[in-house]
Amino acid sequence: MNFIQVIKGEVMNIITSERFEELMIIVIIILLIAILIVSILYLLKISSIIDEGKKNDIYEGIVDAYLNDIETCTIKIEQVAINFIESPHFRDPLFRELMTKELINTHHYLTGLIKNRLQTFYFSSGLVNDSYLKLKSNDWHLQCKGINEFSEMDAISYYDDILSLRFNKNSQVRLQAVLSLIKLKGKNAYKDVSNFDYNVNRWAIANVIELIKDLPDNQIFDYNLMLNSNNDAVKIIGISLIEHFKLKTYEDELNTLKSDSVSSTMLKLQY
Amino acid sequence: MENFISQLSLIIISLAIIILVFKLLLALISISEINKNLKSNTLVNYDILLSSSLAPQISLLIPISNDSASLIEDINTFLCLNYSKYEVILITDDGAILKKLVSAFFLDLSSNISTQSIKTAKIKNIYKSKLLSLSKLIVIDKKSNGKFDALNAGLNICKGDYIISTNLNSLLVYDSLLKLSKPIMDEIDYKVIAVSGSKRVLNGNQIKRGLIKKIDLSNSLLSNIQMLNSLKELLLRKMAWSKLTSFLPLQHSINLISKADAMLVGGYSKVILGEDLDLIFKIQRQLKINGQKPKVLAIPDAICWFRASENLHKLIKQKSKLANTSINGFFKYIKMFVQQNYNIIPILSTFFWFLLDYSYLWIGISTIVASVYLLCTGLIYSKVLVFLLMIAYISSIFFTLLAILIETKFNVYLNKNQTKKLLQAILIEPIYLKPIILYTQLSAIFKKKAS
Repeated sequence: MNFIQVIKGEVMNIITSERFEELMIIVIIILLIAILIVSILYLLKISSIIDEGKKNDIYEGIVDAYLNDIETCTIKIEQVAINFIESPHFRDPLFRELMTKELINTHHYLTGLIKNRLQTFYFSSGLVNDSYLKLKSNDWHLQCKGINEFSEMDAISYYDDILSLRFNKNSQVRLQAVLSLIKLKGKNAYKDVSNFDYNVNRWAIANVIELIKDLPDNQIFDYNLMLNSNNDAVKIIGISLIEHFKLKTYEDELNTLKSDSVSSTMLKLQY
Repeated sequence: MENFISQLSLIIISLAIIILVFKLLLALISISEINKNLKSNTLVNYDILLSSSLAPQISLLIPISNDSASLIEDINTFLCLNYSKYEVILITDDGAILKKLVSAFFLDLSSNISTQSIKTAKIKNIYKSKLLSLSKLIVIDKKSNGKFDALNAGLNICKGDYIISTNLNSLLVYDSLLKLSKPIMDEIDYKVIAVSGSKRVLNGNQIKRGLIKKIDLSNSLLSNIQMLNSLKELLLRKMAWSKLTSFLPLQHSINLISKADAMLVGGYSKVILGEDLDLIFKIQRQLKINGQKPKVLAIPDAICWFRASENLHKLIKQKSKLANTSINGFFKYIKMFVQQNYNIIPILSTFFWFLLDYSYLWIGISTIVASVYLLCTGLIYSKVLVFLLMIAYISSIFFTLLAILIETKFNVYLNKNQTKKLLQAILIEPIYLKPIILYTQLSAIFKKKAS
């Protein structure tokens, strides 16, 4: 109580004294400095957005030209990669980032020889090293980006590196790793992705189900293994896939499972 | 007397400093939450939700009481949202509107009138479209009994796991339902009873077929001022409240609410304003009694656009409604916390929410008190008044600038004309809008006292 009274007395002294004015002026100056800092940050942000926009406009044209060279099968892909590395913009991370992004987009929608040429370019141009650096970064966001780039470009040689992130402490990295492992090895990734003891949310389950639905026919998972898994999330994925593909051979197992062990987990998935 | 005034000055200054520091803390937490949210969203493929059977079914409940020239166009924007598992339920008690809807959407009487779990005024008919492409549209024709009753009628027949109550003046963003449903699928430790998305000022922006084509500012100073004010609320506070507590102030929000929980508490109640706030409050109270951990999540993305008033009289009316909702919400929350032995965090958060929401009032009162004193006793404490006003004005500009800086993560105003309009609004907002808010909050307090 005495302490509070002392504080109160001190503050009262400040208010009634000349020092009050000084104190208030200091508060106002601090606020004005804060305004100045925020204004400078705002202007810097705006100018960086404008710069990035201008750079993007220039780079988009150059990236398109490289993609055109890759898709034109008469030019050796190694030569396109050398031209790319020797380009004056190669040192700019923004340029390489844009090239990787466009490479992935194109790779996603194409098949056959051009798809292979895109992959070869990704490896021989050194863009794969950027993805690797992202994968090895401490930032979970970059790790996810790196994993995604590897899986989109079918970089199966980095399977083990992605596998090492399978039990990462960040749930987004874990999910990205699982999705990439399945994408890279299909049903052969089952043993690597089905053993886990942490809780999985609906979002992760939905992502895995949608990915497996899109796998080629020869990569279909062994549903018996999934239905007999010790993990409820794996069972749910199995059930959802069987229902999606309308596989009548599993009807009995499905009915038994729905009525007992998984039913509590299935209930958890209801809203 | 002099001692009394000194003590009062002390209280006012302490309160102002506490508010300032707390606002700054909230802003920092909010910025960190927005950054986290944006970072994780860059990797999200929302299209998964379009085909996934695990995505929640959503029902939009839209009571219509006023006819307008753009009625059919407005409804069409709700029917074109990028989400597969949703339905649009229009509830009307107006024969002329119904006639218009029947002819525009080829409506036919539906035989499915489900049993009513929540009591409402008589439902005359339920209509569905004959067209397959409009299968997500349901129209309820019922007897009039207020907005809450219309919403309950919709709640009774909707099939969604989650509901959104909205109106035709709001324009839902094309991907809004994807963005609102994703956080529900992420959560495993808590029971998500609601997800709150941001409502942003539409004035000035160019829209085409329900989509924002170009972000711009309005020519009306009043609407730009409101835009800045709502930016501060959404970007510097809301995400922080969501992090700190489940008890969110739900102004400038569009809310996705769990249908099962809404049914559990008997649906919407007859409140003057803030049906969502009241419903979420009832659900939280009920789940707490049941021993569950309810969670209300917030997302920073603009989910919905609304047209801000460019007329001062209408603005005062709107702000009065907000002030009433806020004060009623505060007293309800505090009463619940005391009755149900909540821990200190929600109590403190709610107290500070009220303190911040009503900070204009405290500063306003202090100004009035200081002015009266100045007139009565000379100029000894005039410096208190001058400094308080200066701090209030400068700090308001600081927080507005901070909000605009964060806004660059979503929208950017780049050209000279926009910068000029922004600057004008930033400088005028504290002396134009704040007295209005002060007035409406004071009247809300007097109304509360009277009731």
